[in-house]
Amino acid sequence: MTKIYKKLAIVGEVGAGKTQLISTISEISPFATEARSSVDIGKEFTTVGIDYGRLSLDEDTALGLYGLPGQRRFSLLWETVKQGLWGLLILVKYGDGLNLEDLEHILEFYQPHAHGLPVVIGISHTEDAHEDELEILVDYIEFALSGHNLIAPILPVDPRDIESSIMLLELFHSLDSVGDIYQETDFVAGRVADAS
Amino acid sequence: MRRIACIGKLSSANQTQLCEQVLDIFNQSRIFNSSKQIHGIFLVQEEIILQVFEGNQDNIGEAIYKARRDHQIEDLTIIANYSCAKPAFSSWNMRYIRPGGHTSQVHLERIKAELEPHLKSDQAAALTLFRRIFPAPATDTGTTAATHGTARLDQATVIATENTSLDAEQLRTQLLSIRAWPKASQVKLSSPVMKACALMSKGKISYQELQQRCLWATETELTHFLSQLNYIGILVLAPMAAVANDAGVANDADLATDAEQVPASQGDRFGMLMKKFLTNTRLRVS
Repeated sequence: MTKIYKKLAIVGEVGAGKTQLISTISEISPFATEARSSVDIGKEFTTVGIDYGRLSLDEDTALGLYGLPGQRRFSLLWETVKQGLWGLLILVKYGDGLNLEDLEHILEFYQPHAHGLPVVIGISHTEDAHEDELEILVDYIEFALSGHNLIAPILPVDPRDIESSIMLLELFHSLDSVGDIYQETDFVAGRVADAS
Repeated sequence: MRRIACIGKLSSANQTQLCEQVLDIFNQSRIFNSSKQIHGIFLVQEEIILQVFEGNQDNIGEAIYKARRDHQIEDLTIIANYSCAKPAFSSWNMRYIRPGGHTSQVHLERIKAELEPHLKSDQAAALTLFRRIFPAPATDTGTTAATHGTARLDQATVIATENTSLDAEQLRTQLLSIRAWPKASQVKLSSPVMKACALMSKGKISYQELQQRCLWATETELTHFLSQLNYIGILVLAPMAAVANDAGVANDADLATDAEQVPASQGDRFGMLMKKFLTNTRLRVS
């Protein structure tokens, strides 16, 4: 049987919860590239490369989870997971304000609308969020997405919580399963990549 | 307490710059107004920007002075300036709202109703901008102000706000899509909601097709869900005949063809296994 291996790119700024999310979903201990932070970013360690986790659906089918830094200077890393993408999860950290420039670069790089790539925006660290402020942030993001002809779910997420993390996968599954109706067949075919 | 409304244009025509500009202006206004206890509205439609301020007159004056000096805004003009006994938008702070976004049509109607009687008649150019957002009552043919704007953009119509409840009969003649996903605070993202929104966010789909997916146990639940989306202001309805030939429409015939021509592919297998995983995990977690 042909092996199927798809990728979920999880892109976000420092402290957005990429490593934690992968740790919550992954069946294997995430391969993390963490280093002691040299500046005060609110935590001792931070990711300096790709985090990797894996979710086996059966012996021939798996989803790779790739945590990627959100800054443009890491676009070389974004490139490495571009092929065979199942979805693009952008994690935004509540409270730091939206880094619109980074968001724009990510969307420009992956061009989800042109490629029919499912996108979900997760907002982390919302435990103490003021409802009104959170709505403003959602409006911000929605506005930015509309500039890329994108309509995507934007929702608070707790990367430590299995239910919240599974909901993200369910959203991608919903978006992916309707893709065939609307997307060109060549792109759909291109999204299925055999495990190497 | 004073209520002052200003309207102007954003200086950039470039979509990306426009987006950054709007967020920048909004952020600056929000911080300043919050510190001065000014409440109100921040509304953007295309390149037009409308701000309504409520609060102390001197503070508002300062806010407008700052806004006028902002090179990102052109021709900022006061179109209404009057006393009010109590704030109409006190709970909104300086909310960013956008026709076609999540903001309910009811809110937009409320702004229009509030400002309309107080508009200054000697500001012709500014009033033209105002009318682009809120068409004059005489030319309003039953749909809301924002609906006109979105109708032009989407070549679709939105059911009038006054009656957000939809019935199956109405829906059978329409193609459905959404202009945004509902916020988590508006609609619980259950499995059927996710699937229905995923379908409607990707393109236009007929009511019948949505019904055939059996996402809800009863038709009443489906129409209730669609009415909810309509109430929030994110459901877009387009008469079937008008868009039947659109490439983006998923109708029954297309779907039947898809089903016949595309047997279990790798994508299907992956989807099936993912579904199984999600179901099992949900059961385990709960």
